[in-house]
Amino acid sequence: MVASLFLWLLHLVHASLVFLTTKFRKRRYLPPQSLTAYRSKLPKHLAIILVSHDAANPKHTEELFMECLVRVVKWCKASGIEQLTAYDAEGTLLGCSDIIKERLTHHDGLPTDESESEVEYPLTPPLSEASESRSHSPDFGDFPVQLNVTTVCSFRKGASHHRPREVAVRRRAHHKHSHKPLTLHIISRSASKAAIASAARFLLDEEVCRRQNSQDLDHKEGGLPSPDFMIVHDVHPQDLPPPLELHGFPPWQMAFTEIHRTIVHDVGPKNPMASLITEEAFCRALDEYAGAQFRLGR
Amino acid sequence: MTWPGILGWTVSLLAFIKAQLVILLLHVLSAGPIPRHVAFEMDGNRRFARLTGRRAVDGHSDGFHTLKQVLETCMRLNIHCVTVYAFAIENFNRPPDEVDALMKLAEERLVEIAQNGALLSQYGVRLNVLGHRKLLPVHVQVAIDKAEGMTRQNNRAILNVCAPYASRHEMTLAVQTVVQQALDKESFDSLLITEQIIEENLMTSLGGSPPLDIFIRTSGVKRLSGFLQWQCCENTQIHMVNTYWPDFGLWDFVPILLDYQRKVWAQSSN
Repeated sequence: MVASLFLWLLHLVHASLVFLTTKFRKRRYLPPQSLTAYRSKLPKHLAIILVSHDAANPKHTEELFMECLVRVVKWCKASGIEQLTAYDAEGTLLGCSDIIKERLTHHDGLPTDESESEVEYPLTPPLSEASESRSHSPDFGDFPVQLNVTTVCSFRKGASHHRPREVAVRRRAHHKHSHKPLTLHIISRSASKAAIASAARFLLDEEVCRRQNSQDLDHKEGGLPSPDFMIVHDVHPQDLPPPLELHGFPPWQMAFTEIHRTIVHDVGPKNPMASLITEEAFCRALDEYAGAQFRLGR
Repeated sequence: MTWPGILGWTVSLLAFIKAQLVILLLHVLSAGPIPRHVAFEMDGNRRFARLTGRRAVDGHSDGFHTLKQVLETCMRLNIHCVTVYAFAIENFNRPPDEVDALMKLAEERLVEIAQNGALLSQYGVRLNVLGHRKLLPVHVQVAIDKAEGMTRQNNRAILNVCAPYASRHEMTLAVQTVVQQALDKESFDSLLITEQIIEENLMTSLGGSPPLDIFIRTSGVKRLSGFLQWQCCENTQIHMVNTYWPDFGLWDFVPILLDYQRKVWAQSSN
């Protein structure tokens, strides 16, 4: 009983200290570099985990997630990030992938040139790509297993045409990152541990069919390359945010992914926009990635 | 009484008071929910040593000392399982003299803590060394077998030492094991292979470890670096603390435990 009372006091002191230090740190935050500023390192593949603790309002959560994703897609294109994986555990984004496709097609937040982006879906479960992030990443290959990855490739109209267009070239020179094509993967928990179980079932089926020795999972992976960098964003931030969790993000892909969690500067009913990821938070994340050191075991 | 005598007596008294306060603090913490399984990625030994102009191997030695202290704290709190990342498969890429020094440290210290009367026997801790053991020098493998043998009968708690370990290797092995088991039993219904079955065949589970509640990486690095990826991707609180591992102590650990307790209480009230 006495111990419980002291424990309660300890929690009170801890919560107060965290609250005060958070407020103090907020005042000392320096603004991050701009979105298109030079950074020594930029992730080739960014993952964003969108988190919600509000199970009572799924429609509102869906709107917040979609708006966050549209923003992040825009910023990725502007900063030159080539691949983006959007994850939420419950599959909210997967459930509205058609609406996302439409919004991305019509979204016009960038300086334009003669080219337009068009969104194209691959017809079959997506081919895997070799990861360029780490020399340790296994080789990828075709993998006819249900890995539950929806991939949206953004191409530039007329990219296959090779007519010289001098005016376009001159314009393009002023927007270094602005029109790189972006590949977007939308996944949920079904692409996580369940996908590894699916791979195991495939191996068993293959083994039964071919009666060969069981093969190394390393050479049988596909569907989702490993992200270099991951941003975890909670659309319902709290004054005393709980510790970071990964909410079931695919474990295989996370070996060397740098992890960042967004910090919310203003929380509360006064600031309803606190739920959405801001450009400042995105830039702060990119600044942190640029400063990270990678020793890769050495 | 001389001044040195008075000073010595004062230092001893302060150390005694500090020890009693720590015991009291741990007792207070134990009144609330305690995690079942905590993992430590013990990073920063070399940078810690460089701060004081010493060699990397000295940092690893300091790191082992911290490991013993943290392990004792965990045992006093009745944390059932502790997993530590001692050596990654990629760490074989380090300079050969550092790798040799680490192998020597492992060979000597594992047996040291497993002996009768030492830390593991004092708290009834069973030692499991997890990883691709065949990559280790034979003399280290022998020492590991010996240390594990000394603690095999212990059943109050578990210490998993991951060396040399890589999470993808662990997951691959689990999948291969599950597939091979199905083939051996001639059970060809692949639908029986589930996430749960794979989880049960991970090295941590095979050693009796409960689900992972808290993952801590020291030295400010914000990556998993191939440690317990399956175990920590869901329902695990992840803490990336800036402190170098040799400096890790109660000042860093207590807030982490308080955060865990808040989560458990919040889940209970929901």
